[in-house]
Amino acid sequence: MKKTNLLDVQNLTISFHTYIGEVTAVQEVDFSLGKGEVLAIVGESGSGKSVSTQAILGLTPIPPGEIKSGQINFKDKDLLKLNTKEMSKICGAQISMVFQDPMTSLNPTMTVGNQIREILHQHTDMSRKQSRERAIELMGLVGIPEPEVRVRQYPHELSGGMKQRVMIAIAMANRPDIMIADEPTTALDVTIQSQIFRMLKELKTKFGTAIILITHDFGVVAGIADRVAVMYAGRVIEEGEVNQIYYQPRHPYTASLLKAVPSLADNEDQKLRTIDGTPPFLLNIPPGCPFADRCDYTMQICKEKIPKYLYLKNNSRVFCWLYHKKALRQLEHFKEREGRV
Amino acid sequence: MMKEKIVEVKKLKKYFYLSGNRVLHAVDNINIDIYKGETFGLVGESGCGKSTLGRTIKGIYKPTNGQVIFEGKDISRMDKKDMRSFMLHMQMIFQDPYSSLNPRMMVKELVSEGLEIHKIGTKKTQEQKVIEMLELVGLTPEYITRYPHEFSGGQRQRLAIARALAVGPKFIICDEPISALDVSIQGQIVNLLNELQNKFGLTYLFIAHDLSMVKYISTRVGVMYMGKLVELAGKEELFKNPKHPYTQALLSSIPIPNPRKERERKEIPIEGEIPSPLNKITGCTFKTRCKFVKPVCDYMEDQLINIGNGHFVMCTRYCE
Repeated sequence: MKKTNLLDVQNLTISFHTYIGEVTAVQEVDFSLGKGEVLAIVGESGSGKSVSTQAILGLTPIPPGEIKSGQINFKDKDLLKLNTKEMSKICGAQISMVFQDPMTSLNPTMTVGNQIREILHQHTDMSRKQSRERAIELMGLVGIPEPEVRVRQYPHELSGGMKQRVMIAIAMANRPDIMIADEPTTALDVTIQSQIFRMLKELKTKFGTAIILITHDFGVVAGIADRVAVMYAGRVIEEGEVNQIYYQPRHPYTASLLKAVPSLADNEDQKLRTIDGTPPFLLNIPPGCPFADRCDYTMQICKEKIPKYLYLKNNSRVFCWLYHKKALRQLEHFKEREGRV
Repeated sequence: MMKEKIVEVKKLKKYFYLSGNRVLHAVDNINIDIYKGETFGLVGESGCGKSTLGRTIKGIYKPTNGQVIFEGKDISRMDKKDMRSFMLHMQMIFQDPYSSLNPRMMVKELVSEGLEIHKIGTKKTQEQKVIEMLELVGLTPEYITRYPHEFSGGQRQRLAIARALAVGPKFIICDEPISALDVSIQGQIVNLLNELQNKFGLTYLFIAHDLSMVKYISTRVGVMYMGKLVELAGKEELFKNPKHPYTQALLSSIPIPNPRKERERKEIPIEGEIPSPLNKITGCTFKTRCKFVKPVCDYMEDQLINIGNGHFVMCTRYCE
């Protein structure tokens, strides 16, 4: 390894046993996270982005879930091998999580102050007075006005944006090394979303917290991420630095996904690119590349054999047959059509 | 060219009366004219009343005050016959295709329900119509005996469109039709809506909170804030030249999917959150968060000011 990674996920495969059969939600996924880095995991619903990150904190429901293979290395420990007790020392202290829906992830019967203090008492030996002060300090840090008043309020007294700030305060309470934010602003309005991301960027620079951001919004990713991993049908199909992903997407899926989102900066009358069809049903994944059916550059081999990763410089990689030496002409065709911005 | 109005909304108000004498001003004094063949985009943050406005136009809610005029007739004064034709010609597509389709009805029944209610055609012609509609929205006719749970989100939204189109409407209210769908599917549905509009000369009221999508699909755009229409303009004018401080802030807070441009994006931040809609704010509703607030804002009337080029704004900064 060139760089010391804070977190290393290797060869992770997770499947769920359902009444219709075994669904492989995440297949041979690996990604790593450096210190203070922001990794965005982008993908559509069902692509496995949430499932793969939930496994980091041991949140995979087992059963019906089953971790078939893989390693999650964090500080010389494999998180998948730890027992519940050891795990609970890491959760909320060294790695924490912010969930999508702040309306349901807070306890409605406890004041928000107590919910922040709960995590402080769990991992430190603060006195009650200290934790109260710290809770107020944390709430100020995440931009909640009048924190002295707000600590005594219940979640229903706060707006959605405020609740998400409380969630972030809880996640930041013990100065974690890693914060996993699973679609933190999807349930919120754009103006609130931009407030939250401004605050997250500040926190990141202030405390050097590494962030794994799970999202489907390419706009949000452009502003905050250092690196991007694109997931499709349970696999990481492309990974790279943020500029490379946007300006030189290597996988046809990434390229067409980027063109499927209209942007306010776009010129008019550009017809919206669509990707025909739907993602494959993960119950019985056909052989070959999972994107083959929807791809504009499908070759015979795409439908028969699963591609291999091509590793390139800057820690980037792509999962596509176009980069095989025999597919040079098709690759030229792809490069020509997708154009370089 | 004189454009023909299809829907006129005049001083429309919809208040909800809650316990403890509280009144929620969901839609407050809104005037909109929608012309034949256009797509009118309606944007705003959650709770601003855009869905209530859509539902009041469709007649699902009875307006507290004001009028909705469809093809020259006030819908609250229509007789039975006109009402039937109104119900037929104005259709609605809802946000969540998982809850808007009855899970116990087959595709055939779902799509032909409107035909049956309005007694259009025989059983046989109805079935033909269903097949025709399915093909139109890009589904295979074999699906006719299937149930909604067998379809993906995008396919369900196509079904909802087929259902709305079956009765031959002129005006369709699309209430966040794509926000529950994945990005790669959103484009499919938006392109389908565009195609159908060209084919049948439909008029849309497109309600959404995704401004980039609204910019893509609309002819004119209205911006709502706390039950009021604060700005209205042609889409290019509005996105290039927003006048209301709220619209300016709203537009500037949208992330751009392009890292270089995104890093350069200048944001006009608005601090704070939307005040509770239960408190009646006199004058301008945005004054609590506006940085240009002046004492006159307390006395602002609900009047859209024409600043030329079909651009209307409700703000004291543009009063003479």
